[in-house]
Amino acid sequence: MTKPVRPAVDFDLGDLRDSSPIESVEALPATVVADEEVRSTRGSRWVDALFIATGLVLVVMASAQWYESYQWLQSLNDWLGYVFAGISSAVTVGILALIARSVRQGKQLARAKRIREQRFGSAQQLSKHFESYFSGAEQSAVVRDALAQLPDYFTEDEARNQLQQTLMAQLDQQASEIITRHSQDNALMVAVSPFIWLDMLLSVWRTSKMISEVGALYGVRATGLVRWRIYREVLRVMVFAGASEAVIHQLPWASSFLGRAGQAVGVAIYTARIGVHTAKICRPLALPAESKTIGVSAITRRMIPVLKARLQIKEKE
Amino acid sequence: MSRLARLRQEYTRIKQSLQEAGQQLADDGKVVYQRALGERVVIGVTGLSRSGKSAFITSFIQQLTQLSSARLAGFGAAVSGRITAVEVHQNDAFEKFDFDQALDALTAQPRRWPDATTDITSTELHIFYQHVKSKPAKRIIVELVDYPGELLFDLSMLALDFSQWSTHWLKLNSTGEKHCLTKNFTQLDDDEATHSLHHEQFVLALKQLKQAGYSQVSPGHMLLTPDAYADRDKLFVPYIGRSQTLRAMYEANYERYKAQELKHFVTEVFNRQDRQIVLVDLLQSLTKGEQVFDDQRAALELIVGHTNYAKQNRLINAIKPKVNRVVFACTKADQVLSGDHDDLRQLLFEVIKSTYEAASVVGVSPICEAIAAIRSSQEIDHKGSAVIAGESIDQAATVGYANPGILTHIPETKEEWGAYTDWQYRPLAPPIVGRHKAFPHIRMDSVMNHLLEDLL
Ligand SMILES: Nc1nc2c(ncn2[C@@H]2O[C@H](COP(=O)(O)OP(=O)(O)OP(=O)(O)O)[C@@H](O)[C@H]2O)c(=O)[nH]1
Ligand SMILES: [Mg+2]
Repeated sequence: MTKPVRPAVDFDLGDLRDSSPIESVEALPATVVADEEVRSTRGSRWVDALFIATGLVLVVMASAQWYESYQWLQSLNDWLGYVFAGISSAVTVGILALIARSVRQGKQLARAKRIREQRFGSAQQLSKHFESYFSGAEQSAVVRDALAQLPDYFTEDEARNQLQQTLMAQLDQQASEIITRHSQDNALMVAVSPFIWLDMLLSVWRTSKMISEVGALYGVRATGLVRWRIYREVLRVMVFAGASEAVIHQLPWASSFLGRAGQAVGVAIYTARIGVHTAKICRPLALPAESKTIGVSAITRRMIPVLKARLQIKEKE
Repeated sequence: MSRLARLRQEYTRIKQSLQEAGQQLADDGKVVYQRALGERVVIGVTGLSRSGKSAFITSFIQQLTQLSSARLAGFGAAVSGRITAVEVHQNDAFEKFDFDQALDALTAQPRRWPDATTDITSTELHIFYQHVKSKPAKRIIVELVDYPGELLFDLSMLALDFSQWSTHWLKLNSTGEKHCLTKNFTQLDDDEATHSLHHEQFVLALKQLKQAGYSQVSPGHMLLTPDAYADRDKLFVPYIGRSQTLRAMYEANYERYKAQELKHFVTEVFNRQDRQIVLVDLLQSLTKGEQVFDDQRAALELIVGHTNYAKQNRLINAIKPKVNRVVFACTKADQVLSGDHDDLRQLLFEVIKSTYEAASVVGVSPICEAIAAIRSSQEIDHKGSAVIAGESIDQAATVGYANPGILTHIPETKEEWGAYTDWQYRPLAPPIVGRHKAFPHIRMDSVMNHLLEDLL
């Protein structure tokens, strides 16, 4: 039994002509669809429940302990109790704020993944998700421009395709510059620093800075916890991608037999890898496999001549 | 003295014709040379009668010449700013494609669609492009040829002699609606005295077939200029009767028609194309029902079957051109809701799939698109429903409708066909356009990209 064909319907548009003459067909705004709650895609519910229960028990226990301490302090001196209460509420508020921010940012990461992987059925829906994903972000105006460029007849695939070629290509260009710059700087730093442990610390710090810059570019503001979450995710991806050997090979501190310049280049490649993976995780549209802008080899190719020149100068000195 | 004058006259005449021949040869040589260097490409805008070829060419030219206002985000060469200038030139090998007249019609009061084409015409677009800003711009010549779609009907004659063609023609029109439309001709007495009626009734039958939307209506030239075929030394009709005189006469005329009109079209137009865009008006044929639809499919099969598709060396291609890129496009997609475009594209794919597979194709993969060369509607949200809004062809009223859903397979059951044949399908008036502004369109950029991207 086949599905019946959707029947034709005639509409009497009546005085539409007088109110809005059919002039420039393309002046028509894309239809805006009602805002729909964007849910984060999370793991199974009972894991969440378990976490929440444990959390609650801990909170109750901590509160009880806190109350005991408070009473004890107050019995010593009224003021001691007040100060203790003040300090502990400040700390609580701080922690809560941090958690709230992380949750928000973590949600954003999940939203990026969702837009990347889920289909919304129409170009209009996709646009809407894109717009709300980038709302409040620095590039929201650019995004709105790019969305306005989408013709109203586009299918979702066509819209994704065009966004890849316009908006995303533009962001990729900037991301690629950020990654290149940080990777280069990391390498040069390794080349001049006298201590391996200092290299490690500095390069970890720089890398995490790169992560948050690249993330912000694609609409994920990554500070604190989320930055580390991305870091972790990146490491996980890299390990599971079967690249672990290659990565370890390129870890400068694991290969002391390489010369300083060799280590520096290794660090550069390693940083670039992390940058590229960050882009993959934060990008609301999947990074095309053949991307010429965001890719370890492309970025490396761009870096090598610069590094060569700079490092050789250093060696001569 | 007079003898000398005659001689001199003769001499100048010979010289002149030699010069002309030389010029012709040089021109042909230049074209071949340009094609070999990849500086000239011939786009065959192919499509049955009323499929939208002239509208397509007009829009193609207007999009490129009004690049600053054109919305061509899907055409990389335009987006990246590689195209620096576009000029319209006359193609000396053919009559001029009357772009200005098409613009006049579209901008007239009331607005009109350009007239149906009666002649083979052509135009050359000189596209200047630059990969690196500092280097001088290069030029590529894009040749577009427009012709009346009726001419394609005749491709079936290529492989048939007169008696085969006659049998074929009569069989094709022996059943159903076609039988009714042509019976005044086919049931004429087989008698030399009635032969004067042959022309009249045959032309009438052709016109009625075409009117009803059928595509396999040959001979096309006779449909275009019926009066030119009234004479005894031109007229031919399908004939399997007893009269030897009539048969001999028709056969001779048939062969002459093939050797002249048809051969001219095939060698000068059809076999010259490097790239092909096949325009198909699927919506119209859907609404006319199964017989018309099948007939259109058979005609498309004929077209695809006669096209040589192959990727080959550019040098060889310059001498013996074959089509190395092809787009099949369902035209007038502005008449259905954008949510159905994908299905329309899929349906077109179904229609051409077997045909294309059967054709001898070497390494050329086609793409299917749903396009509108000159978008004449807008899609609005009317009390919660998506509605196509446009103007009736006489511009007296607003037309609003939601089209029947598009199936992604060729309709099978009576109910499925009914959804389309019951649909009150009306042509729309062209949109309000300016002479110096690119037309609104649907996916012209995608088509242009597929046809030209690798060359610019
Ligand atoms: N709505 C709509 N109608 C179109 C469009 N293009 C063509 N048409 C309609 O189709 C008709 C035929 O278009 P033409 O471009 O003249 O077709 P053609 O293939 O050149 O026809 P012949 O010259 O007779 O072979 C026009 O008169 C219009 O009514 C389009 O983009 N949208
Ligand atoms: Mg025409």
